[in-house]
Amino acid sequence: MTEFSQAEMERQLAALIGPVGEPVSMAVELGAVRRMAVAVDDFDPIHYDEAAAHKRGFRGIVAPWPLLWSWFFNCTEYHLDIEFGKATVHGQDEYEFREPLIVGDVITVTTTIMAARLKQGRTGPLGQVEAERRFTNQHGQLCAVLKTTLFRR
Amino acid sequence: MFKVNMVEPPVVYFEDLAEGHEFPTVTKGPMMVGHQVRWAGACDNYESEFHHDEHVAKAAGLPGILLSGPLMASLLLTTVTQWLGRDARLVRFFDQNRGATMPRDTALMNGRVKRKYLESGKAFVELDLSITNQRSEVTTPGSALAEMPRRGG
Repeated sequence: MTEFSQAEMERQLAALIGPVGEPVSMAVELGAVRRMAVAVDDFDPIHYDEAAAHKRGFRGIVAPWPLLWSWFFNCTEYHLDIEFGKATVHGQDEYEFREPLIVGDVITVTTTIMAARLKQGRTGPLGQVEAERRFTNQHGQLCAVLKTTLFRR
Repeated sequence: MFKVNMVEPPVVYFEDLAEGHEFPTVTKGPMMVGHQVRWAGACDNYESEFHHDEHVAKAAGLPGILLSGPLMASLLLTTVTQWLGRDARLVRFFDQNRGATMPRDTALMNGRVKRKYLESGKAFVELDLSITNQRSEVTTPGSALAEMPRRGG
């Protein structure tokens, strides 16, 4: 495996910072909402039944928040374009919730690498990369922000 | 009609929760590969083969299949929404992937009220969260912030 100097690893990490790709849009589909709700053991009727959702004051059937991961995996670039290290580890996630995702909405996600730094891990150099994804609906309302920290070692 | 036993969460008020209150632990599992496959389907993402193929996982030097960190965190998030009731509004959620969950592990969802406060006429609770396994190891520490309804409000 190629050995990289500390300066080169820092250069690769610094090059990641900034917007990643173009904004990508995808609709909130009823079947996707139902599949995610079942996958995360969420049996609240607002995820399955439109009348129940209206009764609770929502515009329509509500997606469980973990459906954000569907945009993460299908609409954004999540591989790190760096040469050093052998594996990328998903370290932590911080979610901020605003407007609910409603079936029929079109959600646009934008991705930005906010920070990338080289740290000293227990077994050697460790790249820490913080990405932010912002999810906005067709009305321009911010629905959620997902901040993900990845480690490269 | 889709066959799912829908359960509407109870109504929980700000006044019902005291600082230090511990929520009843919710046990998930034993977690199986099927949980992971269902999650992969819900995310429409099958890219990380080590999450569902033991051969691939071991070839990559892992002890076996690892269940996805976001899956485990999402189960914790669902549990929080059930603890806090149908009229709570989740504002923030945080989780850290500290330890692996493997097939046949049990995942215990733990939560307590760290702080409750009023701000700008709104009522909030902060929760300390964790997932522990059958060996009492913390695999996923976390936290959450939610806006709560007021009794009589």
